[in-house]
Amino acid sequence: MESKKAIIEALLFLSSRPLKDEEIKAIVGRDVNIDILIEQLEEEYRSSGRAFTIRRVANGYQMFTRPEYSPYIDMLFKERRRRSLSRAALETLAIIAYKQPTTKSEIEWVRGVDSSGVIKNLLERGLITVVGRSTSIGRPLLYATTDKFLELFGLSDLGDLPAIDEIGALEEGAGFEDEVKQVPLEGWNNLEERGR
Amino acid sequence: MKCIVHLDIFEGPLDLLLFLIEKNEIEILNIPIAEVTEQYLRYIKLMENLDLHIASEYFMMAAKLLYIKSLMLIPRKSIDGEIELEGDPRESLVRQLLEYKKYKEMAIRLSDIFEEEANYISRQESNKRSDVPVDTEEVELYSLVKAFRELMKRAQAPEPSMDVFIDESRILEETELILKLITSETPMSLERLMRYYIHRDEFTVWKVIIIFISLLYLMRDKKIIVFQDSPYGRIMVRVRDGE
Repeated sequence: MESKKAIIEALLFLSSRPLKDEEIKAIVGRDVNIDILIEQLEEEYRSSGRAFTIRRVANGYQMFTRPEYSPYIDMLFKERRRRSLSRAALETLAIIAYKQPTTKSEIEWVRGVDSSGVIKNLLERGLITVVGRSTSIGRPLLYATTDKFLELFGLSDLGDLPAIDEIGALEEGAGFEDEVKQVPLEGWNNLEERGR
Repeated sequence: MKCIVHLDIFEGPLDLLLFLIEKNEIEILNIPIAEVTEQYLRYIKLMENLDLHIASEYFMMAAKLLYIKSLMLIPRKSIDGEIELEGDPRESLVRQLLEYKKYKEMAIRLSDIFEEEANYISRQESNKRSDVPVDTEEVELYSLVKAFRELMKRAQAPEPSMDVFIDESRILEETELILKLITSETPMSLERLMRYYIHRDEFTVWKVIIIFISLLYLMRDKKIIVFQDSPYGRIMVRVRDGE
């Protein structure tokens, strides 16, 4: 009889997308601890110096070639089709990834520039999606990142994002907190409002 | 002749401000507003002189800076010691700067992750890389027209009419439907696409015209790619990769 481990290996070997735990379990059995079996596979690959690796991506498992072989793969598949992301796109993605679900106006407040074009582009590329509407005035659309975003960045889930508090936390903590609790400037707010 | 150059040196006014702050090694929590405002305006002026496209947000920020600068000049306390202006006029701006700085740095981190990730290659991606066979030729418009002529012959002709009027919205509807039909990663042949309509008994000359125009629209908008594996081969349609 085929071992469960080998079945999982076969599935991952052929799949062109990350396989969710549920999908694998539906085939090999609910009671199978797939995490352990995959870890064993991964260990076998490592100890025998295989060119591939199984990684946790977008809440599932996927097989990849190891990074050190990418130059050779590029020689075979000459045209690199992976398009890079602009700074604007990366900034917007970062804001959405950490603040999700979030609105366009929140994104624009952080970036200080109109972000309609970037958002549209990210939507078209399937990196973000509309997850609903905010209950605030105007009921603006709420955006969140997609599984494709996780896949493209090789993240297992959103918790896998680099921790944001590492940066800026100190500075923020040492801010005006004690001096001022709110922005007392009426005129200031009007100025911002008019700019919208 | 005026030459307008679009140069994205800065991602926006906040980015420019951060640049000035870093350049002058200024403590972000204690920005010398007068000085920074002056430098900021000088940069705007420079960008203007270079005929760079300046987004309106830059001018809004300039107004903000001048506003803060003016508030900084107002004495905080009146003569009898009553506090007239609470807080630091710079606070809101500083908060915004810190917030932007945080995400700007996260964006750089994400960019690094993205670059590293490019070296892990999955089957999906290798397929993507190889899905244009070496001998593939871009379809000539003629082939597409010819294919549709064939289909037109097969389609039932409606009552002859002199007025030809096709509602634009029907085409838009159709493009959306077509995109839905060919969302899969593998290319779909034109015949298979047509079979869908035949099954639904929608295969009339009018429908074919609409489908034809819709496909042209989608090609124009770079939403789909139409190609043949060999000369005179089957016409294949596939969604243009978002990557």
